[in-house]
Amino acid sequence: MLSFQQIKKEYNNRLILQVEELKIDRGIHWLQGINGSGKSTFMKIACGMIPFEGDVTLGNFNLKKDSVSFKQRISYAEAEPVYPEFLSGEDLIRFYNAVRKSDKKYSDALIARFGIGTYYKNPIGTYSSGMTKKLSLVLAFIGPTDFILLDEPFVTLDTATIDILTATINDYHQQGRSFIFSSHQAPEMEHLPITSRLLAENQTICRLS
Amino acid sequence: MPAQLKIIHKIWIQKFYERHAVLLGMVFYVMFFLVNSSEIIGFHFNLIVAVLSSFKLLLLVFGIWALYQIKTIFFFEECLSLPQNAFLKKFELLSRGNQFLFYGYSLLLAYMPVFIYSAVMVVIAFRYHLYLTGWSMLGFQVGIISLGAWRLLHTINSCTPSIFRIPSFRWKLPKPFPFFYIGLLVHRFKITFLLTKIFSVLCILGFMQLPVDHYEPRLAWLGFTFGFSGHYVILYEWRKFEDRNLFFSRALPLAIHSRFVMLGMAYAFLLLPEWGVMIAQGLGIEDAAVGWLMGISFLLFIHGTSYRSALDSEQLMQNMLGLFLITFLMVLSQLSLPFSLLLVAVAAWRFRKNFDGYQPADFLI
Repeated sequence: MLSFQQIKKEYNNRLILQVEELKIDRGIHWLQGINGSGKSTFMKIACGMIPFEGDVTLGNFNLKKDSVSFKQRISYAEAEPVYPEFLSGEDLIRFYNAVRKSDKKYSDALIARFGIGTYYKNPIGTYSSGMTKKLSLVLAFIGPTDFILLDEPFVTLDTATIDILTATINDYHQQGRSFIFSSHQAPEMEHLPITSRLLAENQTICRLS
Repeated sequence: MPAQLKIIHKIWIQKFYERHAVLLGMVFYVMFFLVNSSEIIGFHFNLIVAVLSSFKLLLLVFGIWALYQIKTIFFFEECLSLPQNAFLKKFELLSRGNQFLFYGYSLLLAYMPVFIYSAVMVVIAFRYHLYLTGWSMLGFQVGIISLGAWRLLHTINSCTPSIFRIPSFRWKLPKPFPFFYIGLLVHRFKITFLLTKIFSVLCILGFMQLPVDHYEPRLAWLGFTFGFSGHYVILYEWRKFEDRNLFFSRALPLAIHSRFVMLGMAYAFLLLPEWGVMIAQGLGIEDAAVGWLMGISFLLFIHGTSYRSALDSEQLMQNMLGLFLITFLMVLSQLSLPFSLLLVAVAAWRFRKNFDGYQPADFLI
């Protein structure tokens, strides 16, 4: 279970997000909310990317006290991923494999599944936004994580890749992985067994269903 | 002012000076503030006369000016390649002559700091009857600006890639994390990297030329203190790189001490050439290693300190100048090694304290 307690995020003395208490069980969770409602901030807090007040725990691991163990169990794909343009996708996949202690055969399977094999050895600077997005999704699936956070995963993807992504999510979910999504695209979500819906509104996150 | 010039000012010139403010500020500081203000005119006069009367030094100066001009041209071409600036291709609708003048004018504006200094040099050359040197400097400046304008003319009016390119180095071997930093320099900041290294090596060589009657490693260390302080621009670009392109790595399960060690490895690799130069100049391997460690600890300390608040180039420069003076005194006081070890320890502590709490200024909601 992913738990949030007394979360507060301010920036330039402006409250961005405040969550008194939120517990997210295993499953597939859909985070909804208008632009600027704090969905990405919530995800960045959940994966330890930005500082915040309060506590986030995953099982027995506290993000602030057991940072490495916590991050070993959670991964995140940004809505608009930015990587060094001179590195290749292959460089990053190798790096992720090493850091997340994952076997190469799993990343090879992901490369084949998402169809990035034709270009992932080229520098990222030569990729289109859709190609970069696919790479970021492959990276998010690398490693034995419990939770995978996907920020607007369907944006910039072609229809074929959207189908591949939903199938991959279903497969990984059956293997026991949990997901938190943010997405404005309701039709794509219909193909996923949504466990709960969360709403980002008025600088907080609450459960809709 | 014609609309074309307004556009050029905003997109090329203003952006050029914004991007290179730190580098230019550093060079300006070294050239005009390290010398006592009462001796500044005499210092520059002697420096110019020394350059004018030595063919080798003059060639070196021409080389540095050429690097500056190449950097300007690459910057302009980088601006041209941005999607939001695609409309600049419309300049091809102007006559070739007009385009040439526009591009020459733009390059001259970006080149102005060098041009003003070189104008003073030309005047001094003529005053001292060094006509050939004076004319060759004038010819060099006109030639290099014309060549640059011609190159931009070709780039804008052609669909084919530019004729001359600095080759990019791509190695197929796995790149460990420290090489992500080095990769930035060899791909995006080749000229800055080269200029920084030239400056650093010249500082070491310059100090090692001072006459002493016994083996004195402190001369090399003092020179290197200037040299690694000159890496300010690289440190600043690496920090910006972390904020923009390496931010994803914050979500990865990397222990804080591993991140610090990897950063230290990046700096160690960066300063490796100076270690080689010190050894090649007769310094013992251990003494050269002390100098190398000084550089690594100095840059690590400044880097580690920079996570206290959003990245601020002025604050970074103030920290660097303060630490430069302290380091200089420590070298003179024969405390280089203990001071370097202390710096590494404090840098590690500050890194550990500030890294997780850091957030760049432009994070997205």
